[in-house]
Amino acid sequence: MTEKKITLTTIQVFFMVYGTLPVGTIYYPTIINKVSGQSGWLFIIINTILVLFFFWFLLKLKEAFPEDNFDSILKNIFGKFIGKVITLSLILYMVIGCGLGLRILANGAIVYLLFNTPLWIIIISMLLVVIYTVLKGTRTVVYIQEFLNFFIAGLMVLMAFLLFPDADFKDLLPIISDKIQPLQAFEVGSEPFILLLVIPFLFPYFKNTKSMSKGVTLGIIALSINMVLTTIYSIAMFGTTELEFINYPSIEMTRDFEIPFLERLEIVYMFLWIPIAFLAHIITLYCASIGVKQAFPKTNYKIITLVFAIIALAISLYPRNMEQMRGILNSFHPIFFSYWFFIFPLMYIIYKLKKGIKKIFQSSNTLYRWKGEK
Amino acid sequence: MNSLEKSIATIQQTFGQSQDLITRSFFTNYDQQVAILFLEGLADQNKIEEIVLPWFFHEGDHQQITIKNMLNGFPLSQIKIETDMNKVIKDLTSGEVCILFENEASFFIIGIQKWAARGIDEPIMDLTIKGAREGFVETISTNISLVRRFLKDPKLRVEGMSIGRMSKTNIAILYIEGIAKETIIHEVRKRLKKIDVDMILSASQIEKWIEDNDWSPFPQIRFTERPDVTASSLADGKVGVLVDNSPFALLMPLTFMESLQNIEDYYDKWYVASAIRIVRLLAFMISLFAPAFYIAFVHFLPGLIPTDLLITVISARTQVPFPAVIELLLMELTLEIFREASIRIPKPIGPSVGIIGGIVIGQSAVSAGLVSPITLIVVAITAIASFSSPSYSMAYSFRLIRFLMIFSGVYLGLYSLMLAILFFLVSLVSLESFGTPYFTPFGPMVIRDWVDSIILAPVRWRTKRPSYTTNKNKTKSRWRPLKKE
Repeated sequence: MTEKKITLTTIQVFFMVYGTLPVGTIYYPTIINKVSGQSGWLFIIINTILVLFFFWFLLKLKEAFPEDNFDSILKNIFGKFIGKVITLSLILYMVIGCGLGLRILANGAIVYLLFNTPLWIIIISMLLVVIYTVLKGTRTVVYIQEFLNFFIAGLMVLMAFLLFPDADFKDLLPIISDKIQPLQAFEVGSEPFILLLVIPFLFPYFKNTKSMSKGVTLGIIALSINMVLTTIYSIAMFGTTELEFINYPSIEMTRDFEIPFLERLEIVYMFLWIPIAFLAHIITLYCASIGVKQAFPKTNYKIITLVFAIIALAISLYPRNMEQMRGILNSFHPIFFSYWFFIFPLMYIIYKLKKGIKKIFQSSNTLYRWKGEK
Repeated sequence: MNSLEKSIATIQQTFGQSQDLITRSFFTNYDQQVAILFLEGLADQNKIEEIVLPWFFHEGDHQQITIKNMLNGFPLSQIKIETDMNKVIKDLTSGEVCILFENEASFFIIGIQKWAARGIDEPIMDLTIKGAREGFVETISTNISLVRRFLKDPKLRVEGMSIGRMSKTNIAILYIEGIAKETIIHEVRKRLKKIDVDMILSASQIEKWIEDNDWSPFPQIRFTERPDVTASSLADGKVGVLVDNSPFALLMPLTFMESLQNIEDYYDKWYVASAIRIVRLLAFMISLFAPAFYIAFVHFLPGLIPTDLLITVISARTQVPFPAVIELLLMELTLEIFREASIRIPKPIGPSVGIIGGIVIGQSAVSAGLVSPITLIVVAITAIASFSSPSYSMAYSFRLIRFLMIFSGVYLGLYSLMLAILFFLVSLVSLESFGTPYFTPFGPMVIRDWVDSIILAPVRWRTKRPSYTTNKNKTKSRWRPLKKE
């Protein structure tokens, strides 16, 4: 990549984070409803608070190593070998995330738009546009995220307003459901944030910690509001019992739009969802590619992108059905937890310890010299 | 053979005894040999006969004429001394008059060009109702003066150069020092200097040489025939290029949103202009996507069409033997042929052909069952919408992109159409014009510039120049509300 260095403005950081809105947003209310009833939104909020709290460690790492990329920071803290292993595992996480996202999109498209079209055709068509975008480089990825997310956020708000008269918010009571399975609910509640692991790859593009802190925090809050509202509206529209049997509640609830002479307005949501999926795919594929470029600067960005796209295609075609795919996706939750709630804090703690030890060494050396002089 | 005769011989040899090279040699009363050389039809022969020759005969009567005499006493303003024979040849081809003296190594050059030129006329493409009615002509000096009339700022810089090994076309780079970005001026200069070609016939050829991405269908440099548009763009910090023999100015950088804008917008009330811009944006979308959506709905998702409308569409299509896409492509192609033909049809029979094409063939095609009336309506609306663009180049690009959209609509219906729209947006967002993101102020988002994008904000809010054209001297106006007395 021979492009000029770009630094992200706060708005761009915000939209990049908002662009990690998972593709699974169309079925998410059903999944969380199964493990937490009408209290699903509470678990999203709990996860939001935790994610924001642990983001502080990432922020401190960026503050400690303002000029370094994440791979260099890992190398500084854990050494070359462990550092590379963590970087590569994060990259793999991104590629798998991209592949599964493609599969979720294809399944949704088959149900609502392309009833008899083979899965691979749907996936390859999307993948070609994603590859084209990622190959265009950082600027294009940032600008398209900025532009599309602006409209997506706007349309989401509009939808919330339009659906408001049809929603029955009494279904959200009692606030604490008796169906709650706390551990599973907590795990599923983190799903809106599973692609936040792209943030470390964007380290070299953050202007400063202030803009990073503001942009990421607002982005996480926006993601959370989006998913909380989707969950609340799904419950308010269908009720917890009916919701269990609806595969794609986000799309189904848009059926309730009432505009004279227009029919099947749920398709409107498809127009929103395809760009959401597209943005999630580009951010994952892009971060995987720049991740390799950061860890191994001599590699060719374009070739890496193409290789990862092929791997993502293979992953997307691997699950036999949605159940199997959900199974793979569920394994993402512990991985996300281990990075966000364990590895990142651990990195900061080790860094502080190393710094402390260094300080003690330096002061004891000074003391020794001083004594010697005396 | 003396030095003067040798120089004449060299020049004549260079021009290959060309018939239009006029050489007039004579002796003054002091027995000094003088020669006048010029190309017929390029130099002003009246001035030669009424000013140049009489001066020589008069001055030559009582003194030996020298270069110094001429510099001090010659009664014309555009004069210079040249020593390089190559430059003399170039001056002659530019219509200047060359004077040679016996025993004098230098050449005296007089700038009295005059050739047949079109008078200043109303622009053909950039029409306005409330704006000036003057358009550029084919003479670069006239065009520069037209811009200067709108922009009487001493900081307006005009840099000259010539491009084309054979055509040696004069080019002028225009900008306002202290407002235009140095990086853009430098980039324009650099790209122009890199052009290595035999002939430059028009500004459009320069555009092809210096644009950022020649694979992109979107115009990356603005074309205008209007001096007022050029002056206002220069005042905003853009860089202009004028090309001799071309009645257009090139303005750079260009953003996509500027394709929606017209100089007339700034002469109307802001809300009227904003409404018109929204209409233009809708027309843009219709001209690009309407046929593709029609195909996607009819072919893939007829269930999405409201029932009453669906019945109308299906009943209209029952007699048509072709699939909707063939029907649509047939009509689009016919329309393109009409458009292409109408440019070359002589003006007096143009309207008749339009009537034949539009009404007779359209009506007959429907009656014969070759196309359905719905398809005809879609194609007609698309065609009308495509004419609403103020940017001619953009409208042309959209015609091409529309076909790609139709094919994407045929491929996987709404899904592939959505992907095509995303592809279209990515192409727009990734494009740059002289280092400026093409899709600014929406990608990257520059909220400051929204005041003059899709919506035109009231004049009191438009006090800053566009952020992408200037990084110093940003204020272009200061709002002072009128005080009631």
